[in-house]
Amino acid sequence: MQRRDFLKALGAGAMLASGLSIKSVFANAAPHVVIVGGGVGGATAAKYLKLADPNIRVTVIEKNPVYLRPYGSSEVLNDHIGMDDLEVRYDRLRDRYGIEFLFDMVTGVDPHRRTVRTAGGATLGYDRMIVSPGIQLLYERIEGYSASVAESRIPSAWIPGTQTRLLRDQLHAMRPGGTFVIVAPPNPYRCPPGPYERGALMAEWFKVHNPTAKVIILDAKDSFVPGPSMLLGWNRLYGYNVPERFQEGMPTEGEWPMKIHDAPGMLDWVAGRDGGRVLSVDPASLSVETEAGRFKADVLNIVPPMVAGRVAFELDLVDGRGYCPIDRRTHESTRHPGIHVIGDACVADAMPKSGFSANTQAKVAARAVVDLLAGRDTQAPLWENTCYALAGTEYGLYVADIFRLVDGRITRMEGPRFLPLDASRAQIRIGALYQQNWMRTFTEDCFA
Amino acid sequence: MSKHLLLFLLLFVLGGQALAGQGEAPAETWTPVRLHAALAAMPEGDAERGARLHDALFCASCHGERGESLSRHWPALSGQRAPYTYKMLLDYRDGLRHEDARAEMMVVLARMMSEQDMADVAAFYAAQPLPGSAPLKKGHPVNDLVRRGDPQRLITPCASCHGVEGQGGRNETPSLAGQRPEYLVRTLKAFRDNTRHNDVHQGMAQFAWDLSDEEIRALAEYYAR
Repeated sequence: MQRRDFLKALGAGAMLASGLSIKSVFANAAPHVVIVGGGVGGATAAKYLKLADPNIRVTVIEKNPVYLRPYGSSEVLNDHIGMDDLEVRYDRLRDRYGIEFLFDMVTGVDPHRRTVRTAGGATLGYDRMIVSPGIQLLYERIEGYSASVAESRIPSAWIPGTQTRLLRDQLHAMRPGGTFVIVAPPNPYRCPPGPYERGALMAEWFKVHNPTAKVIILDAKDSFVPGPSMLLGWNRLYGYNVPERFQEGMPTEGEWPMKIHDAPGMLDWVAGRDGGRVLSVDPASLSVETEAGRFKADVLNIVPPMVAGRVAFELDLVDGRGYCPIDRRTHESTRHPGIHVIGDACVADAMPKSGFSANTQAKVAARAVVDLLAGRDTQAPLWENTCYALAGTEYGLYVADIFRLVDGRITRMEGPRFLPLDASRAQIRIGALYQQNWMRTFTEDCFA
Repeated sequence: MSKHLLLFLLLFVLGGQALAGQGEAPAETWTPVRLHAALAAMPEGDAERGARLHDALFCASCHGERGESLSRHWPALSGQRAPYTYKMLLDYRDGLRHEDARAEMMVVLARMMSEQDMADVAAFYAAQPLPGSAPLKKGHPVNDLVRRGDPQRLITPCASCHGVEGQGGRNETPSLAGQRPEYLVRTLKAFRDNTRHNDVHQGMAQFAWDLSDEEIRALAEYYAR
């Protein structure tokens, strides 16, 4: 008898025998789900498995005992929050839900025997595994850039940690009138609005602390999400002139019109079509060679290309493009059955790589895993995502989407997505509040 | 009636002493005179303009399209008495109501509103039907508390101010009927634990001080949808 059939029989039997008195179909034989990665995706999956059925044994393998949340971490740079505020602990997940944690690194898996090995020498059996490996940065893809340069001189600060603090300190010590250059990554990447929000938050900070400073965002892309609403925010707050191709629908009169500034302000964005693609970087002089020429920085922040996190490669879950192909209905890997992949590392079609996406994918995967373990049919999934972003600490933006499975692909449903371009000052202010509240409630949903 | 008045006066005095021991009293608390003046100066509300503001200020994203409340996190406002809604907006604006992190949203919103805006939004909610009613529930564990109060603990009947069916009373006394039970629990605990103090001379808080968690849950359930 196959394990699955056995569970199915057991599940059906338990339900018949117990009627309503025992909710769990696993009351007599608790299945074990191993989760690799304790970030947003892994933590949410663990919690929602336990919420679905506390009899499922859930073990999270994660290398860091304290998690640093990446979402909102640019707010360290402008001192809106401190590094401490990024720290998230696992106590609540352990104490409240009975989730087990193993702080260790996964080194290999045997998908046939369904066992996973760790660097610390542990071997764990699993009935199903959920892998949420996040991303790794490919520093070497940019000529002149490397992990050691990133740690010492040109931080990426895209995965929070020592580079975040380094970048913060560099920005705060930048000479008066200096230039802060951000190199935005090519698609696909974690947190689509991130590089543009970072530029905006620093422009706002410089306006007070270093008013003659400049912020330049170099980009291989010609657009980003949420482009026009962010560009309009820059226009209003930092004297940025919106390129003509983005001006459609922007208010030209009324409460808060878009303006054309004779003397543009401190923030500029060089798109790919304008030569913003980076060719190489020279760490010694902090200068960047682009198709549009050389840019000399006083502080340089490069967000390099990225692929699925290390463990996804270790477990042979990635395809030729560096991300993990999945059956979208269940998030089960198409390369290895029994292993589900969620978050930034999975191929999720129209969904952006965001914390919100990882959280909602974790819920879809957790539900599918419970159904599969119980021998039930899986249900049609539904995903959602909202990316909140700031053009200033009191200037909020967002893009909100719902996704369904259409022809085997995760497909965005049509409908209004963005804060409208003619949004009132009040709505924009509320948008910033939503962003701040989301930081708190989202962290609770994932980790508490 | 005069008995009630005496009870009130006595409680006001006791309440005042209790407050003296509290750490963070708001800058300028309500007195009956100030509240009377504020409500007398309340602009006449325009419910249609209120409906437009309700959209423009995103009230609906938390409170529902007609204020019917979309989740346990936020109260229902449909059918709420206009003076109550208006007073709450004033209190958020002036920092008198800030019982937990949820209030931050309302503080920022209220600071962007004129008093005319507040009156209009209040009129919009008042024009909507109440989300429920709370008629006599004989045999309910707190029916006596609601209908007769508890003289031992100097608790007046809830219904004497909030209406026989929880529909609200005079002036700013809010309706409770059909309210989210989670909101009522939070609110009663906030009054009991002195984290909410925007009532006139602890006019509400004094009745919450002696309530047990169990009674608070039962009261919320009594008035809930």
